[in-house]
Amino acid sequence: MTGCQDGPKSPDVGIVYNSALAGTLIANPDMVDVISVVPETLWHESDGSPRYRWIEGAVQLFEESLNCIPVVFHGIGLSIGSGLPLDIGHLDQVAAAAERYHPLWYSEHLAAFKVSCGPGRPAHSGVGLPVPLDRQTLRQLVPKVATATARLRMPVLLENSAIYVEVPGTEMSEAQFLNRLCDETGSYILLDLHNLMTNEVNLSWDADRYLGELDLSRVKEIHVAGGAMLGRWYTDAHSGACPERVLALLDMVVPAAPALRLITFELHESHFRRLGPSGLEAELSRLRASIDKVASDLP
Amino acid sequence: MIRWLPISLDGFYSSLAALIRDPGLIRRTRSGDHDWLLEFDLSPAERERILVMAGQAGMEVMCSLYRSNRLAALVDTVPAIIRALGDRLESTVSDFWAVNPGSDLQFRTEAVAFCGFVRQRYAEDPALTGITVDAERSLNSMYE
Repeated sequence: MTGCQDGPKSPDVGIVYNSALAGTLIANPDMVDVISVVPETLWHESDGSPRYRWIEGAVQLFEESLNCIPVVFHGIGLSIGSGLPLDIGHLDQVAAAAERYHPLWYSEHLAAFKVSCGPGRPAHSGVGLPVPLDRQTLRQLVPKVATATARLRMPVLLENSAIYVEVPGTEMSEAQFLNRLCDETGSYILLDLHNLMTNEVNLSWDADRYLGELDLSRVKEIHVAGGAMLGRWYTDAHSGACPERVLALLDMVVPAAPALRLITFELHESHFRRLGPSGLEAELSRLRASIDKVASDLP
Repeated sequence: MIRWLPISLDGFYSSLAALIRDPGLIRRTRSGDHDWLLEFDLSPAERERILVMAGQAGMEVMCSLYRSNRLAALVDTVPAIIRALGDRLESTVSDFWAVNPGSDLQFRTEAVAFCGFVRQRYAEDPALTGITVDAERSLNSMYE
């Protein structure tokens, strides 16, 4: 899969790929401008040798869905926020996937997913763990982000997460932490507006203040999604239509983010059956309308 | 007043992950039993951070999301076993996660381990062990 990419015009509309969407994407090749893929869904990892093996069925379905649509990678395996050394083997596997699909950039959450768990390779924590926002953590993350950027030879974006517990004793806000990480590594920001809204609902974060602190000139991609209640908590469930609050935040950010290239809709595959192709098209249309509105408001 | 010193991160994350895996550990911690923290290489500041976080209301949703994410992997890959377990599902997955504390990004790895666990635990139930053999065979063909 080479030679398809010209790159999107700014900003375009994309979707995070999953196999449930494949049929719709194949039948509607103009539905999105960019496809974001979690590269780890395309291979199997084991303790054996070779460590990574492509899952041929998954690869074939993904490539049929692409139809020369540009790609971005949304990784979940480097666990850049963790306290473990950067997994160079995993980084090399991402680089091999990049040789195959030529993604415009690579993004990961600002979170920890891998932890030590006895002998053997580290375990996945099952949920993203919040990062202590202090200088010590920053010192540990900077070389990892720099190494990933150098090895992948593409922009690396760090994404703000939905969190449900806060690490006490922080030295800076998340926005300030992301700004400093970007300043010190030349990386960029994937601003997830639904994650921000989730933290606003659950933890009383001030989203307007957050956006005022964040260096929006570093935002290359925005994620939007819908969520669901779990007990009295609002969760980032990727379960359907974007809430109006997310679209309102989008309207604020788009004109203020000059490097923004892509707005990506996230939908969990188990909820696609309920939303359906027409519901998905409606959500993508709402995003395009937001972009058009901003364009028409420009002098 | 707590003075927040630099932390080593991995000990901090490992102990936080242990809490999220085990709601019982959260209850123990909240009731003042902190001995389990001795298993982890934690500075005094790290220890205080974990104790504060164990008391936050959001730990409940973290535990629920952890279980939901791990269960989703099994529902996705070995649905026949999930159906066959019926009322035994909750206790079976809880015990499986207790002996396999590390989740895995790779659904296949998780599912194969679960097949082995169910086969061993319900060795006297030939119908169920037969389902696990079929599920494992199906998994292997899917990922080859």
